[in-house]
Amino acid sequence: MNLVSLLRRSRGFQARLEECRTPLFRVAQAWCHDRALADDLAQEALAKALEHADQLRDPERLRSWLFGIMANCWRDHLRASRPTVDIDALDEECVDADPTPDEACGRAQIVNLVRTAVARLPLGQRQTLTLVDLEEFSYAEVAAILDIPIGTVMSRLCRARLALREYLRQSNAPSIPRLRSAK
Amino acid sequence: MRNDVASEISYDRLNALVDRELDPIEEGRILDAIRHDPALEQVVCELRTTKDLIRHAYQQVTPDRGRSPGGPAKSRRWLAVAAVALVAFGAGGGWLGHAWHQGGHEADFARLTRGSGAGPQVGTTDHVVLHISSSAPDRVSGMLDEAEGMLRAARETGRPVAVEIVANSTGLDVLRVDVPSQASRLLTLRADYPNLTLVACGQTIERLRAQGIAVQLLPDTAIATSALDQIVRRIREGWTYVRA
Repeated sequence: MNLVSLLRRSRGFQARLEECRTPLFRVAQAWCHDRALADDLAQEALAKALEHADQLRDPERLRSWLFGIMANCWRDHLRASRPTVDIDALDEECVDADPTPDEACGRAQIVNLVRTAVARLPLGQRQTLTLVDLEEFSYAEVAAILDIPIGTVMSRLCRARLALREYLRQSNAPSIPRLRSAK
Repeated sequence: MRNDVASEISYDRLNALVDRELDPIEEGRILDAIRHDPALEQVVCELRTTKDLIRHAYQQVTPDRGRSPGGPAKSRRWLAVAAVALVAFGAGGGWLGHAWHQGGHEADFARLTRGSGAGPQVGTTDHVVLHISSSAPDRVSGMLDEAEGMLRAARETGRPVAVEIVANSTGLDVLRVDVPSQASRLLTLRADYPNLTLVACGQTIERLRAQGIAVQLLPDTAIATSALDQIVRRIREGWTYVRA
């Protein structure tokens, strides 16, 4: 690759990374519900992406590659902050039921209610749900980003949405009709 | 008959339907079942509503564009730094440091600094800013190896070079005398190479002070407002940025 094409790719690459900053931050915020940490996660993912730009073989996969990097950053953060906890087990456990900052701001607001419901989901479900619903990644892409089987993506998604529905229903969210379960 | 079809549709297939994950044949089969089963239709409607609610709940979430006072400074404005680095990479024919990490420091350095237009655009001296933000031993020793490799190669080839180590976050440990680290190696290095300078992140120092930690730095270590401000300044001056 000559310098001109390298330069062109670099600038295009840079522009595409910049476009991804807000989506990365949004998903990171949905994962950790901490703005400072979300910003760090998004920026760390971007820095690592630049550092390892040569590892991206298919430019079309930039977004899923970036979110995969951020998922690893998040796991690294959890490992560092909870060295005695099995992170893989954490994927399936509710992290805590403490009120989040969003929760403290007012349950009446549907936005806060939904964010609270998302924050209460087990980590793995939260990651899967937000990647599918916020960024519209396919199941296959989510499986690659989180390094899990597609079947796990589907089961986490089902459980996440059922839990959300239940939480929102109990909270009398105005937009959620009371429904019977489907099989 | 219709009920039989509906009862065969599992919840994960309905999820897949709203996520557009089904092939056209299965999608058509389920949509047909939904048309004849109000309860099923309601479940799908609910799933779509939940999906929309989630999107709505995070629609307005955007990152802060500036550093928030007092907030964690670990990696803020990284993209701005990197963007400037990329511009420098393109405009000056310089490099971003990948080659450096792949071994052959001396050879790479000689190659990168050889010939017109191959180096940073600050006079005839090559300027490199090395950034360390981690105290992980392998990162620290890797950074010191890189600094030493550059300085030695420059001396051997007779090419003037200036290397500046900028440390922040836990990487500040390398510049602290109150923390067991590789400070002695750094002192030796600096004694051997006067063209090596050290800069500490003022924000990291402030944060440690707020935690009751009195930071003691190596002699002649400069303190910048923040590591990233220093890096941006250097890159704008034409320095080559390398993240350790």
